[in-house]
Amino acid sequence: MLSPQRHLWLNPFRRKDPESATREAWRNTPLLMDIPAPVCHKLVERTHLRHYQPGEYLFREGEAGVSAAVIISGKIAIESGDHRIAELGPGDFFGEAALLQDAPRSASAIAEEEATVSFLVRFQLEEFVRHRPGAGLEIMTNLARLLVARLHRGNRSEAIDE
Amino acid sequence: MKLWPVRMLTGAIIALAIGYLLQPIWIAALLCVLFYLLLEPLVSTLQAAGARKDLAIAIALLPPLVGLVYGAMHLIDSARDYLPQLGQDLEKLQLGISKTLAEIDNHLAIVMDVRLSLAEQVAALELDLRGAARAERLLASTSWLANLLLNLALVPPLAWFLLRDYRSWRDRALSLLPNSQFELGWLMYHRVCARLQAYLRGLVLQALILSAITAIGFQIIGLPSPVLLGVLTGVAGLVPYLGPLLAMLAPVLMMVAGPGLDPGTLMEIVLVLAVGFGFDNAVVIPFLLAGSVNLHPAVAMLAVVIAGHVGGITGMVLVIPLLGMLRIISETTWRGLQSSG
Repeated sequence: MLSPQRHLWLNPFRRKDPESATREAWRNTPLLMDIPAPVCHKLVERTHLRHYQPGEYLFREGEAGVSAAVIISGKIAIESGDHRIAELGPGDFFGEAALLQDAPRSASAIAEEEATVSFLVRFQLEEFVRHRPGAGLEIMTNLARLLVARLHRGNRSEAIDE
Repeated sequence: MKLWPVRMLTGAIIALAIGYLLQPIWIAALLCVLFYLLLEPLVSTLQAAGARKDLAIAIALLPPLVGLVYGAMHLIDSARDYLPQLGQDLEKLQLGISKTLAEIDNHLAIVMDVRLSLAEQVAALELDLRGAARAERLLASTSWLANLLLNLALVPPLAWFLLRDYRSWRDRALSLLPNSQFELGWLMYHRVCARLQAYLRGLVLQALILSAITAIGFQIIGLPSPVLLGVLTGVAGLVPYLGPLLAMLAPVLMMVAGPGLDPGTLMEIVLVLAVGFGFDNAVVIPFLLAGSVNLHPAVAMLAVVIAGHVGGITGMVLVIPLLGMLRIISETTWRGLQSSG
């Protein structure tokens, strides 16, 4: 433990290390909402941090997806066909449908600038849920809520288009 | 030019190189993989119930390790007691074979009026089983036993580390994949593992069920060492087509070397094996192994014969599971790479 005097020497402006930035990003996602911090940390230990160059694909439309992602830094464009659907930035969470099934990706994700993205693979989430059924239930409930909310939003936008 | 054939070839070469390097400890490696496949669900269940990972592994590993240590001690004791009288027993076995063949000859001569002179023909082959007990062969057997014991001693620590660290090793290995192959790599790994685990667990269960049925049968008909004979039958059952014939060897030789083999006992042994293998073919294989490998019968027979020539009984037992694993890995990898374009 640090002595009170040493705290004076800690630099409050120092940038956070990538691990704590990743942990924080995941804790703020709807997937890990209301999940205790130690459990979150255990799950985030299993995520994979990957770096992308501008123009590099994270995944392509139609490919089998097995992971959800959180953007740690940089910008990611989501495209379906030739249309740009969204532009995502740090802290944004996407690709969560792949945490439930093998269905092909409904859109492509491309790095617009140099980006760092943290991935949670479905098989690792399944292992985590098997080892911690209590926390797993809460995570899966959050996932279900998230997917239902997206479904409602999709239905509403379809109704407006009509 | 597509890169995936090159990658598959590289993967195959790396796998072969690792296999070659692991050659001296293949028994330990095989047992560890089997322990992992069988015990990993138990470790997960214990962890889900709140046990710490190390404690869960210890609880799961303890019973099979106690069994393994007991088996090794038994093996050492048996070898120490048995080696000095091996020569006498082999002589007895040779006499027993000659006597049984003479009896069969007489029986055929009386019933069918045919005289094959089997005993004389076998004697003409100069089959000298006592040669197996010569000093250099005994020395080779002792070195084989020492290697086996070394392999068995390696099992507990290797199994422990495999159960504890396998996932982190896997995660590190898969994180080496390039960005474009990251998700595909995980998907293919998962599919290969799911099929392999189902197949290997099915094989182990198949061997256990066949061992149990035949051990009970041998106990009922009063053969000596029914459990050992049951285990040997379970292992022989892994060899397709030739399994029932291989399974007959041990009990028949044991009876020939011991109290003698009469037609009635031979029929009882055949009946026990028929019940065991009948249940295996009618119930166990369709429910546990159906559709998991489906090797063509011609390929399977050819592989068994070649493996028998190269690696003896061990090769015959291992070749089909290994071919099955190879087929699952190559099929799944092929499909995954083709679907990725």
